[in-house]
Amino acid sequence: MRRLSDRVLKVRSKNAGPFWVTIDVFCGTSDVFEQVRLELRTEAVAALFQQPSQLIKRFDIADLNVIKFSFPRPVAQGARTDRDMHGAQWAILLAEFPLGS
Amino acid sequence: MTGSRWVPGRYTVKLEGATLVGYQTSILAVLRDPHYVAHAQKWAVELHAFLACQIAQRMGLGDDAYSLEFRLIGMNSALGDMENRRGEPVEVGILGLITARTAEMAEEIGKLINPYVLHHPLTKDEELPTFAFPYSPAQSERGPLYEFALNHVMELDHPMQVFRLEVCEIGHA
Repeated sequence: MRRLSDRVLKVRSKNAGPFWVTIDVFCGTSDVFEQVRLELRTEAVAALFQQPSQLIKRFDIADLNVIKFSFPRPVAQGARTDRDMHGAQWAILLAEFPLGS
Repeated sequence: MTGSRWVPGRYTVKLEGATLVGYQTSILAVLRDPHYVAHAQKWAVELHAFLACQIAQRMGLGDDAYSLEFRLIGMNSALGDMENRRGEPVEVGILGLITARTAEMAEEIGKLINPYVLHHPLTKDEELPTFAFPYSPAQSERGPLYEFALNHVMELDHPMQVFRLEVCEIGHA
């Protein structure tokens, strides 16, 4: 099974303010960008992060060969149940996400 | 960036605020016995239930007076319920986070649970285990905990409506 990280240059995530997290998928080339853009369904990403898909903001940025997802953090940064203050581990879940083919 | 456009609108100021929600003490232990590593989740859940009773009986504190959370390092401490991989870790770190109304109360809970975090058995008929404390005392004060409590946009009639300037000259060259 191929994972997203086998296809793209880099997947990274960070807080976008204390209430949001944002994940960037750097595809590297327009070919990879086009393939990944079609295969990576927003609903599947929402399920991976246990979010309703209407909360996922998605930006397919062809000029940069980047796909970007933003959604509200399950808890605000620094809340007592926050497990990752800077939100960098969300990217790893997406990097490990299996793609078809 | 090209093509941006200025769209006039009401003058607004972003308003963020945090509030004190309590004081924390943390405690750390490491499970290495394979029997305990294999059942770490069950162990942590049972330990938590046992400790809630102890804290209620000996300190008279209900669930609303404090919080105690165990995170299993090596299993799912970073991602919690989102974690979708299961491994066979060599060891599991158990991080206990205690939050209470005062630092003294959090520290007292830390001291009370300390021997159980070190020795709590999986079953009643087995010898008391001893886990690893990486330092002693195993509990340490973390100080006050602040959580975000305010995230608003204020609309102002003019930029200085809610601000004042204080100018202080501290000398001349």
